Amino acid sequence: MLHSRHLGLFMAIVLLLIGLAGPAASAAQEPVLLGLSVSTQSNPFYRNLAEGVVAEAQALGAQVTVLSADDQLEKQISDVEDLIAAGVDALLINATQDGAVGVVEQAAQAGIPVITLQRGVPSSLVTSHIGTNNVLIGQLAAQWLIDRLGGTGRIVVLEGIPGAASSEDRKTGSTPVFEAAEGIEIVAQQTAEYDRATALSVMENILQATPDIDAVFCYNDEMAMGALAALEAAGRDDVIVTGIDALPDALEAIRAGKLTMTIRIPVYDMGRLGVRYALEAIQGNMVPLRSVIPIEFITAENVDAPAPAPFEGPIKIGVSVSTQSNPFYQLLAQGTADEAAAMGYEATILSADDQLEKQISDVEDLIAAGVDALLINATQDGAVGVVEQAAQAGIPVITMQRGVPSSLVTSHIGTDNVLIGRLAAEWLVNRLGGTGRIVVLEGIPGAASSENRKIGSTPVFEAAEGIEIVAQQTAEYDRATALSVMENILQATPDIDAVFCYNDEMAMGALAALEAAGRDDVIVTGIDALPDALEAVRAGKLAMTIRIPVYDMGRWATRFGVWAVTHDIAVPVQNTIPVQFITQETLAQ
Amino acid sequence: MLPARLRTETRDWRRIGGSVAPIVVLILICLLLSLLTPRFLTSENLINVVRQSSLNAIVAAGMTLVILTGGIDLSVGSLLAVSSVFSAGTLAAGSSPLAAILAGIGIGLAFGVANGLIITVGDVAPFIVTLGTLTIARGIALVYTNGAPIMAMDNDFRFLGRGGIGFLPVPIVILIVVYLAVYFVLNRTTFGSYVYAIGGNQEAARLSGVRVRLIKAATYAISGLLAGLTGVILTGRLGSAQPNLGSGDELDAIAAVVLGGTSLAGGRGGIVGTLVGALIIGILSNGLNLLNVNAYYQPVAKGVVILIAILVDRRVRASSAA
Repeated sequence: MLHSRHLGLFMAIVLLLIGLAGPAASAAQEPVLLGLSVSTQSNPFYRNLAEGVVAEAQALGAQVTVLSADDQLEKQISDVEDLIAAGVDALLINATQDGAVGVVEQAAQAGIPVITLQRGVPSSLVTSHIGTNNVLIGQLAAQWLIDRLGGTGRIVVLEGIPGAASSEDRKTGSTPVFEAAEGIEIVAQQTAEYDRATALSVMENILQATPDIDAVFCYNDEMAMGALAALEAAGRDDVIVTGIDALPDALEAIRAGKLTMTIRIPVYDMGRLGVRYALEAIQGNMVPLRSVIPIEFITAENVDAPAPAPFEGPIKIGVSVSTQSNPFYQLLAQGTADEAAAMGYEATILSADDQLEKQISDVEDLIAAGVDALLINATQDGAVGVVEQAAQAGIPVITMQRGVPSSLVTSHIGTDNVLIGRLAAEWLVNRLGGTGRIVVLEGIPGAASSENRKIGSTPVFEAAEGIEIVAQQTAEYDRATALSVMENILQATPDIDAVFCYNDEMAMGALAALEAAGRDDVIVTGIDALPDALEAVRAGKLAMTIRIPVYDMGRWATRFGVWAVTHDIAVPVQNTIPVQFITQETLAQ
Repeated sequence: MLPARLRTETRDWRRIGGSVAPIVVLILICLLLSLLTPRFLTSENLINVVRQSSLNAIVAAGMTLVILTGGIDLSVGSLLAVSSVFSAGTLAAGSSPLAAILAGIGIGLAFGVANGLIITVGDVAPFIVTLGTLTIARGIALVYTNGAPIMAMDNDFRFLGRGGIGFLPVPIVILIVVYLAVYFVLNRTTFGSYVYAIGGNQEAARLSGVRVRLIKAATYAISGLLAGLTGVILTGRLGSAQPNLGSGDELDAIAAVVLGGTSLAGGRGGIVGTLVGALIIGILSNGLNLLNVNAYYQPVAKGVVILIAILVDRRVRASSAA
């Protein structure tokens, strides 16, 4: 009896275990399949990238197929064709050359989200590009050297292969920084073709011509190692040498006290981030259109420092938005709040009512309240002081849409108004079939958004042969002003085909003027997707408006803030969010 | 020294409350624009520009009364917004167009009365009081709308903004009615002469039995009412109401008054000049649009013309006073 009771208990436990396992097994769906086409796996940099992709896919329960193109375009094209045929849910690609664009667009047109890593392709169909920004790297590296020299010194610059994009971009970033520093003199600036042996002889020659130097600034580690060899042979150990790439022997040279600094690009995390973006895109969620990976300065102090311990426990997120009386920023705040709640953290949201003074005291309050991360949508550049105060207190700062000019900001996420202007103008040119007389209504003169939309759109109109801008006026982003300006323009030049407005407010004003004049033959476009602009699109009056997914911007900013606190993954420093064209057709869907 | 005939005319103009200089400036601008673009001097464009100027002109009519007493009303731009969103909100709530129009005008009047009472009974400087109501009214407009526009597409409601009586757009008809009324009040009623008297010397007016507080409060009430009316017209023109409507409009209205030769110190000037001033500002914007002038130069051009007009006005006054 006792025995059978034990047996009964045993049976009950077994049944319970089966019961627990049963639903889990049946709920296991077809796992997500990712495809990675990497340019080459013989280069440690790109091997590291692929390892990051594989590790993250495993961690998140996705399958991944990795194909290496051995730096051959033909192989990459057939690799990607194979991945498409294998039915991948998303394609991650590190392109060998721009020529891969065709097969990438083939994948995109088949409805497969495409994430390009480090080496992209020139296509507007790519979902997201994650990579470094060599202009930024040049700029930051130059500033680091100037600071290290205490602002004065005679320096030698070793450039990479002339005409190579990475070298030219690093030059564009670094040269102005050196020129702006008063105590810095560039005594020689030569190319050493990214090559160690070339750098050795170039450096020897420079030492003959101008031995009196304080530092050598190299566009990569190979050249830095060559320059070090020349300096060592000349018995010079008083010269600061910097490189870029964090190659294994460069790290060795740093440990030995020979190389002063090199820059590490967290390419492993780039691969991991690519997987996270791909999984979101498969779900149909918005992912940043472009993300720039951060860089790390490696010196003797931190070359062997252990990775920061992962942070666990509750996280308090502080959010300071410029104003909540504007629906656009209201949605931004809502996105941060919802994502924080979804991740199980607490968020405090403060609105500055568009006043700098209030924002400064808001942020001070958040710091005092002990927030772990600060998300801020700045009222003005003037908020930089209090933002740096937070950063210096060890709080990662993520700026949203309106940033501040500070190098202490961890990450910025926002729109790119130049890009918006370009895309909107291309849309209109396309819609007009390449010919037409158009009116342009600009925003507030001098406002950054208006000037940038102008920089993006004007060249598109000028390049289109059949397009004539018959009037280009400001209507101050204002509906009532746009009404009057449009009335006046209709007096001056009634023969128009389209009105291109830098925002929806002006588009609505222009529509009112056109309607009053009985003109329903004019194509009007706006930007912002305001509620009544959407109404006008639905009613067939407004041809197109652009939606900026500001709610998702808030969600990503929150994730970045949390990642920065937990040291989970390298947080991308600059993020551009995509835009959506809203027309009667897209609203009907 | 001006020729005798012009001097007499100048005196005539000043008697009815204006100076001849603004009219000269207005005619010069019109001549110049007619030469520069054939599109300016067409009947359509002239009606267009008067219709555009009518909004600022109606606000400026109320402002003229306030400034003649030596006061100022900075709240009109915000009142315009509050009236706009209240009228559209009333309409959206299902009320009749007439109720919506009255709601818009009523809220403007209510704020105007509040301005007048705080200034006279509370004895606070008009600049401070109306600065306060400027922010309060703007805030109420934001709270009321939660920052988003309210649609007002009802055709009857939009009659005030878009309709026409014969060939005249309704805003111009309203403009004419408002100016005839204010002209009559200023020049043919004791109320009008008290307004001038208070602006000339408030203490003397009080001693001679003028009910200074009542008259001054009334001018702010009228200013608020006209700002409310303008808000309703603008809502009709746009087909929607927004909380950010009319910000900075108080400065345009003050500019029209001063361009028209009314002294900011009070007591001197008149309603005809204000109409001319509002037309100068409106025609200037119209002309710069017609000529497709680069956006960066437009504010410069406007500012320069306003300063020239005022300098000419001062010179004419100085020489006619001599």
